Amino acid sequence: MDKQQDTGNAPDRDQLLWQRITGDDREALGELFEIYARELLTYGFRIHADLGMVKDVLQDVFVDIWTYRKNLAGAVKVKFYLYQCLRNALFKQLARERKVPSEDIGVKEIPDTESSPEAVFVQLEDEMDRQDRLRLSLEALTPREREVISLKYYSNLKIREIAKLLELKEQTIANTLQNALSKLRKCLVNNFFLFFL
Amino acid sequence: MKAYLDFQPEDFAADEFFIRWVKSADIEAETFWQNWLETYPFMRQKVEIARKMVLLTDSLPVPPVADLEIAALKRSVLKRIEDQENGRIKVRRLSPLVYWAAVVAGLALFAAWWAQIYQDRPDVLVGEPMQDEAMKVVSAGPDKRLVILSDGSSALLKKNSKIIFPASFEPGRREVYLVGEAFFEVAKDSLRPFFVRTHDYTTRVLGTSFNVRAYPEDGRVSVFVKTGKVSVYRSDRDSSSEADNPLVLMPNQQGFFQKETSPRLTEELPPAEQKAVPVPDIDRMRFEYDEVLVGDIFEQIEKAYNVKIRYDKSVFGQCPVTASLTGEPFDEKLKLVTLAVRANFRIENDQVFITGLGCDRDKN
Repeated sequence: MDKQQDTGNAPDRDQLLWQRITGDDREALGELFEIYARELLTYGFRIHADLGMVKDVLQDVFVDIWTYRKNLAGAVKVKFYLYQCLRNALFKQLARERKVPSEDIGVKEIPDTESSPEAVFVQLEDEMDRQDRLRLSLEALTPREREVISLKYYSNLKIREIAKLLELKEQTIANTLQNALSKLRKCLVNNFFLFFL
Repeated sequence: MKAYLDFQPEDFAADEFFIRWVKSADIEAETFWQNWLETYPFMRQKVEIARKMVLLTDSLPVPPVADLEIAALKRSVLKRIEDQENGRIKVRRLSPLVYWAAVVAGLALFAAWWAQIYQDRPDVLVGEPMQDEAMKVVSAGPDKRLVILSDGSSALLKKNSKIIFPASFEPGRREVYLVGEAFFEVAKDSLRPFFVRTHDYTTRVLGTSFNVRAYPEDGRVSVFVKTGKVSVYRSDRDSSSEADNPLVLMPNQQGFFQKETSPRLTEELPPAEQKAVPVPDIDRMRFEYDEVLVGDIFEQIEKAYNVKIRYDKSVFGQCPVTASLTGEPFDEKLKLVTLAVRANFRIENDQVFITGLGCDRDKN
């Protein structure tokens, strides 16, 4: 969990890497990848579940950043930008696969079920090596609540950034978070054994 | 400082500084929260629930990806870039227009999906009454506010202050929590010591009047004693042999307590020698009356406690009273005054209603 824990100077570090990337330093792109790959994969996996596709899309995002580095804004919140790119690319890919369901079979795993994120999540949960009791509570969350929880607690994004990423109002995100937390709390109260975490 | 005392577990769990405490070994957060919990132990349950909620968020699924695989992914990204730059593979990219169209389509789909989810969303859960119903919280805004406690003691809250106290005190002790400043007049009860808990320091008395100033932004606690005597000690020494080394303050003494330095004492001039202040603060006010008209006494009490006393001037206005009320709780002051003029009183919010037939009646 501490791998993506923000340190105070993470934005500066990212900014430096970003400048090196726009200055044609390929090493810097590799470093940025090393820093963010795991948390981006986790995020993608949590909202989309098809890990193979998430891995492919993540690579595309980084290749694209390199390809279009000359057109990239110089001052950018790097971490947020990466999340935004991954999210857009994932949904783009999802839309494409829906249109042409037979495409790329054999290369990418296509979920058996209709791949609405919710359905995928259910399927995913069957496959997971699970901590059953804990997940009981997280299962009560809607996909959006899960996404917001993950972005806030795992990715350490601010409400403002989450709202921007999901293109929703901050108030909506705040409400979603409140609902999700109420559910978690209810689970804590109802499942007394959880107190022995 | 945030209004953490008003927080429910959900609020704590959503608070960035709180999350930092739960999830990292941040010294600043650790110091703050440990200290805060020591000062407000009754919040411990809420905090504990919130802490578990934050920890629970960690159990969302994590993809099974080894570090080795991430390294391989990185190599693959760099390889693709190299191939691309050597022109071995034509960049297969959609034109920007198509790209954006796809993004918009994706978002539209997503929005539609959400609209559906949103509809199906279960009703918002109503928070369980975790709040300790027995605790009351009273805050003062810009004006002073009088709080009467269950034992008859009174606390006059000064501006932007807050007091938390049980609806009725435990048998063996009387304990209140203060953020900001308040003037206390404690009803005498030698069997039940009265504790004022503030950040870092606790003030302990049996029955007396004193002022405690502990605004968080001051970074220190100051205690001024008007009557009786009080002892002040570090809150974290609470359990060890009844606060091993308290500082004892006598009337007209003021103590300043700062966490890092040793306490400092100042002596004030006796009130008689103090310069007359137009509107003296209640800490310094004397309530000594020798044949004073009850109307004047009521007026002084009204100003001192920021309350309104309703009474019939034609009935009580001219009654003379001799009394020594300094240091008595608000309740007790009224009791003594009304006793002197054979009246009754009742308190409703910030108003006191005096009823009776007047003091002259028997004489006539």
